Amino acid sequence: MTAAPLANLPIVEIRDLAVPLPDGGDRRNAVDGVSFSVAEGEIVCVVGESGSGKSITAQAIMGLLPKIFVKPKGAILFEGEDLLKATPARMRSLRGSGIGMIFQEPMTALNPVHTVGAQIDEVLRAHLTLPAQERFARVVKAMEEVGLPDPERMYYSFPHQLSGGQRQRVLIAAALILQPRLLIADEPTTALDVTTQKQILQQIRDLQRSRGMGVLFITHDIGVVAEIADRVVVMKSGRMVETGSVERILTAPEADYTRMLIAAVPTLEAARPAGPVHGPLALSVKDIAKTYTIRSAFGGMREIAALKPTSLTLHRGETIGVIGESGSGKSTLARCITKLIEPSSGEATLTGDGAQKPFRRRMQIVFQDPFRSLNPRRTVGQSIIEGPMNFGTTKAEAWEKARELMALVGLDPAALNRYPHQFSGGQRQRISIARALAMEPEILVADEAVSALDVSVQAQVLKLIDDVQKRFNLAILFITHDLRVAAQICDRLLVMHRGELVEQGSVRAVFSAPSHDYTRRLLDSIPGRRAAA
Amino acid sequence: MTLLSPAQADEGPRNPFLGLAAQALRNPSVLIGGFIVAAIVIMAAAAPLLGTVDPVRINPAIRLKPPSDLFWFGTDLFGRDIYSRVVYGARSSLMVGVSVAACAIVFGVAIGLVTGYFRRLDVVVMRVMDGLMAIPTFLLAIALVSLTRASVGTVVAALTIPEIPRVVRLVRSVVLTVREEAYVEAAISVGTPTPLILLRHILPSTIAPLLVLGTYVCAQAILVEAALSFLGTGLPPEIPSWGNMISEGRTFFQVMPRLVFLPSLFLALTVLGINLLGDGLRDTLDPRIAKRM
Repeated sequence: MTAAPLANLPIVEIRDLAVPLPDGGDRRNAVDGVSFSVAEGEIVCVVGESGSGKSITAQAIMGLLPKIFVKPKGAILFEGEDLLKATPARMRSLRGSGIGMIFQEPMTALNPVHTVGAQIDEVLRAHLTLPAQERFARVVKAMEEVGLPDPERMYYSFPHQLSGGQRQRVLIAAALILQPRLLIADEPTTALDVTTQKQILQQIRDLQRSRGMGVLFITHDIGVVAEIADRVVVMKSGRMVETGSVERILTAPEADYTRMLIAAVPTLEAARPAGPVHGPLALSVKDIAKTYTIRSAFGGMREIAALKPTSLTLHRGETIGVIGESGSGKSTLARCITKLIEPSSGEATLTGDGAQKPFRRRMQIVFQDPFRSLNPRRTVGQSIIEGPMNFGTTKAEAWEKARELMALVGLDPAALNRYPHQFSGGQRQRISIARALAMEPEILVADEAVSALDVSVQAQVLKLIDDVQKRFNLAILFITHDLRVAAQICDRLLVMHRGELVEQGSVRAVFSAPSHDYTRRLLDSIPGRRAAA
Repeated sequence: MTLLSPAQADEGPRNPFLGLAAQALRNPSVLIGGFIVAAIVIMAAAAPLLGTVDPVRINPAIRLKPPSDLFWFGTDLFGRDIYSRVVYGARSSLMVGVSVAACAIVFGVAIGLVTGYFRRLDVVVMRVMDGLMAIPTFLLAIALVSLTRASVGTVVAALTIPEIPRVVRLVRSVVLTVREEAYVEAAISVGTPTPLILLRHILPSTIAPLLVLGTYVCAQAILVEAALSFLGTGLPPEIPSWGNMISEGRTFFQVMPRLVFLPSLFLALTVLGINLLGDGLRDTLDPRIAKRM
């Protein structure tokens, strides 16, 4: 989106970096023959899917490789000095003063028992000897620079008192307080909501401009690349696939893999026809609400409305997308409807011809995290047959059905007696879908079912959900924070904000003419929107 | 459509728990501790075959004899064979240790699973557990022995009751984490009844920490039983136990130290073996510690 800056001196230059994996890994080198540089005043994005070696590259530059990796080969020149040959003491002094780093998870990167000000101050104490007053002034100034409100008061706040975006700003302030020449950002916005992500990206861009530092930005999201990068390095399985200016990579990618990565990013175009779905009514939810009551030790009571009264109807063959950011109440809605938690008021009624079937056979749910939704101690076969056997199906029948379902979701039926850890994330999500289908439900609730997957895998799983919907005429309630995913699979959208349903309508109507202010902000925050359009 | 990738197709099914067991067997603490424990267990089990005589037969004619071909460790105050009493003493110690660990785990797991899963029970049951924990083991043992009479059952009961809350706390903490796992929610959503969820999806996660805790409870019980017997509130004096032997040998300690030394040596060795085993198991089974290595 911006013109590449003039070819300045490289701040960091990586030459033929190779990080060997310990024996028994899936490949010889975690990172193999990677060479690129980051110049003054430019943002280089390293993009790739999980396992591409992009984070290992960043850790190698910081000298923070986990101990299982033996000495990396090649050279990492930071302003002419080879970091791979630097002493631990030298690396310590460079970290913070020469190279700053921010991480993905702002919740865990801060120590919960120290104030945020003290944690920024720690960088100063580690590298400089300054009187306390001067340090305080510099910390406050740094917090001001990253746009934290009322920094003098917030200095004494603890991490849990801040929002995710504010915590990430604190980390940026700590990383930049010593004016490093290079900032390494490892997926700094992945854990944040889109509206917050947009602000943080803008912040990084502004700071980089005003200081002329180099930024190495690691991400899996092509949208973020389009938003922020000057140059792009595409990585796959530890190797560099291609590199070039952001315009060239996005408009004329040379490698098939890059093309695939870009193509796999869902567009905001509604994939389904706009008309209403005329299947029989499957689910009708009337004024369902959930309120949590918190009792304090002194007898006080506080009520938190996680979900304000919400109504919806869902037809067979229809997919309704529930979109919103964290804390919007969309997962609470899913759990109330599936009776995993008891709603405080209102009810969800299943309608249609299966009235004699028990509730659990009629509605099933697929969860977000494919690494936690299968019991690690049980084979996937045991997990799939558990449901039908609860309702009296014989083991032989259930097992036969499980074999059919494995083939249906694209997995080898012979793998039924494997354990979950032997499958990849996408494969596990297929197993979760097979487990849900084993109950022969009419309604499927997908709670962020593709959010933890790489884009290429995400596209495959979305296609699978689409296929099984057609095959079994399922009614699907699809909960997601990702509007691009919602556009691919939904007929109608419900937008939730702070526990409240703020807007609903067909995908096309919501995207082209959002009526609520929050929907407009949400749409506006999608990274790379302008570039993709 | 994807099928399994070749790298994974080679492996075949692999239970993650069996992998841990194999890993545990490579740990030196587990090996050494396991060897000591196995040796003591074999000694206790095969006691009649190890050249022993009746450990309780009194023969005043051969009191306080030094070691000889006939009496390998000599004889005690009542002319009983010390070697036979040490070997048979392993039986009482192990029986008390294992029974206490087993009883504490059985009761603790049952209570812990239920209190961890049903939040309403939690408040009440945990206060009762706090109460139990406050009872000193020795006082309870003395009270029980004076109310009834000294027997193995009384000692096991006195040692088990204060251990139950510890097991309950451990199991409850595991249940509190595991019940929030998505796979438990998944089991609820496919209609699995609550007792099955507890047994099938939650109980297996408690096995590893319970194995570790079980070894500590066992070692602790063996030591406390010896101490109780030494004080005269433990096993009845006719049962050959290391605690009883130390207690009886105390009066002749200055002239014949082996009366105290030999049972103490075996007591220490047993507890050392069990603790080594427990430490090694903890290192391999507790991922938080194992990952740091």
